[in-house]
This record gives sequence, structure tokens and C-alpha cells, in this order.
Amino acid sequence: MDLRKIKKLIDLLEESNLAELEIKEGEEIVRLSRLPKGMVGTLPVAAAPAAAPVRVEAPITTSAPAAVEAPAAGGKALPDGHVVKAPMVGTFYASANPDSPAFVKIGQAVKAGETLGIIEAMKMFNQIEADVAGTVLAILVQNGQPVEFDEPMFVIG
Amino acid sequence: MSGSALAERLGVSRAAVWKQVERLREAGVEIQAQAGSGYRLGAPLELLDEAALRHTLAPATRLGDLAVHWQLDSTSSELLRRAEHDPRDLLACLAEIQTAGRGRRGRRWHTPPGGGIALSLLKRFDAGMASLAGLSLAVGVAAVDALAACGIDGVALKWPNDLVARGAKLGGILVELGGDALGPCHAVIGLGINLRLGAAADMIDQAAIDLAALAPEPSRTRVVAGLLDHLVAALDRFATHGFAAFADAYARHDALHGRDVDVVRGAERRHGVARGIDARGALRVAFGGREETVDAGEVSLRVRA
Repeated sequence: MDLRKIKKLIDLLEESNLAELEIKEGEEIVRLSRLPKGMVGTLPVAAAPAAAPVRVEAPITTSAPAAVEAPAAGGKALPDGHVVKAPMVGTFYASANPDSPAFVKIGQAVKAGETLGIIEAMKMFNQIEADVAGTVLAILVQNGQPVEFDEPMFVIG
Repeated sequence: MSGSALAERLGVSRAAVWKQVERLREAGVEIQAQAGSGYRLGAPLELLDEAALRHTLAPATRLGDLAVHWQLDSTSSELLRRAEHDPRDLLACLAEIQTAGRGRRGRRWHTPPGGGIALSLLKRFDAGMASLAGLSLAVGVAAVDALAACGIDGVALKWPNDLVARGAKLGGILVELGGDALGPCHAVIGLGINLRLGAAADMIDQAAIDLAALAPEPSRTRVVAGLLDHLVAALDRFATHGFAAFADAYARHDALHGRDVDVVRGAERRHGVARGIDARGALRVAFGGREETVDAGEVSLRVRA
């Protein structure tokens, strides 16, 4: 069974409502199964003992939701883009000191390495920098708000 | 020393001497002048010298670099800039004058030249920023130990970042992080200590104290070298064991334990009793019968009399 055939089977599964598809051809068996949405992995492939093992790249790489779809606390969907997450627990500050303007606003273009905000915990200050260049599409934290580790803070697109 | 003797010794005009004296006065150096007898320093002035510092450091203290500047915006800002292109570990930086020395949340930190210690040290860590919880407290423990080793006793820690003595502020610690949040990262540890405040004491909006009030003729060189010795050793221990290795020592130096405190967060002010710190370095406060931990935020603590 060649790769083109397997690709065709994947397309077939994609278009159908089937959860699983098993094809037997001579001594070879290919079983494709659809994982629940959001899970990423290689599909289990059963092969007959005599046949060379066949590996199938999961079709869900095309249907899997983008990795950025981490639901925010309020359940709001985030705009598509690169999500900057909190590297540590602490308090978020939007500006360098209470009298300064915020580092960034929504709609502002940022360069990679530009400061987006500061997280502070026990007098340790961490400047949150844009790791990609782009436009600030969303700011998900408010000045003075506590943030958890890995909490989405900014979306850059 | 008379102005003409200074001019002769330096090979410059008397007017040039006068001009330089005025510049030093503007920078905050106290210089007294008396007609007929000349100029005199208002207080002993011991400037820092790289060679003298290296000579005074313990042999085990190996720094990647040691630099003394006359003037910088801030020693921590300098190291944060250096961290981008200098891969070495344990970079130490000192300045006689800081034009934008940082206190908490951007508040200014004032010291006249020679009147304080402005020291920053860069330390690299491998395990990401989450492993650095309590680092600023461990630095405080190291600073208290270093001062005690120089014969300066009675210094305690006011959570999270103040060095205090006799109920007044002696110094502060500020840690800034950079690099990869989950991998190799660096911490720039900034330490400011009052040595001899003089007239600057009036510019500080809280009760302040200096080393000169705690020990006769404290040597800046000796204190700075002692701080570096203890900091370098403490940072190595922290990298291996984390804050747990410092929790007991912190408890011994805890100025707040058992004290009535007001925890202020925004407009909210709550009264409680400080109950030491937890394993991560967060402050435990008993509000009524319930204990909570305070670990971040615009929390200011007022110790009740």
C-alpha cells in the first residue's frame, strides 16, 4: 500500500462522519481513527505481522485547533496570533512606574525584544518582552492584576 | 587644603580648582570652604578602586568581571544591557553616582557620591525563572551575614526587600530577571546600602539610617568586598538548593515576625500579624484567626508602633 493510497484514505475519513476506518488489502491492514478534537498525535496503525510497519501521519494535523486556543479566564476566544504567556507567578504592571504611560497599547506595532510589561513577585522584576515582531492584537491582563504561571498575557499577530 | 596648594599639586589654575569643587558639590559631595585656609571635605570620602577591591575579596570569590564606574544611570541597567552580549557569569558592577538609581516600582534612590553602596551582580541560572522564587530574600540573608562579618550588627530584613536597623531603612534589594523564562536566564541583583547619608537624609521620605550610625568608620572597600563574597557563595547555594537553604536564616533575621502589620493592596488595607514566611518566601500574615500568604502585588507593609 503506497503513501498516495493512504493519503486518499485520510481524505476519505476527513470528509466522512466516520470515527474509524480499517482497510485490509492482502496481508496489510491500515486502521485510521479520528482523535477527539484538540488532541494531537500519531494514529494507531495496525499492520499484519509479515508486512513492513506502515506509519501514517495523523490527518488531524490539518483539523487540529491551533495551539493558541487556550481559553481565557472569561472564556473569550483569543484572536489568532502568537500568545505571550506569563513566565512566573506575580503581579502584572503595564508601565515602568505609576507615572509612566503603558509600554504597549492594542494595535501598536512591536519589534521582537520590545518590552510589553513587567511581572513582579517579592521584588523580583521580570520584563516581559515580545518574542516575535508584529502588532499587539490583545492585552489579556490588567495593570496591578495577579497572574498565574503560563497565563496568556498578550496576543501578537 | 588651600585652593592654591591644590592648583599647584594638580598643575591647573585656581579657577579650575574652584570649578571642579563646584561640580563635586553639585554631585552631592560635602565640601567646606573657609577664606584663608582653603577647602575641606565635610565627611571622610573613600572612593572605590577596582584593584583594592580585588585584593580584598576572598580568594574563593571568582567574579566574571568587576567594574567600578564614576557615574551610571543605574548599575543594574548597565548589567542588563551587558547581559545581552557578554556571556560570562558573575559580573559585578559598582558606581559612585547613579543618575537613575531605582527603588521600588521606579521610585528614586538617592545617595551622595561615596555616601552609599550601589552594587549590582549578574548571576546566570539554567532552570528557568520559576526556580528563582525567594531569590531576593536569599540575597537579603547574604547581605545581613556580610555586614555582620564586617562588624556591623543589628541589621534585619523587612519583607520582602528592605534592610533595616533600629526601625529605619538601611538599604534595599531589587532583582531583575532576563533571558529565557523556561531555560537559561539571568538575574541582576541590585543592592543599595546607605553608608553616610549626610544632608541627603532629608531627601528620603522615610526613616533612614546609615552604616556610619551602626559602626565607627565603616570601610566601603571592606563592606563591598564582604558583600560580594557572601553574595557569590549564597547564589551558588541558591542555584543548587533554592530558597529552602535560606529559610531558617531568614527567620532569624525577620524584622516583622510577630509584629502588627497593615497589608495595603490598592485601596484595601487590612490589619494582621506577621507570622514569618513560607517555604517559597511568601509572607504569612494572620488576619483574625485565619492565616494567609502575601507574595506579590503592590503590597506595602506598615509596621504598627
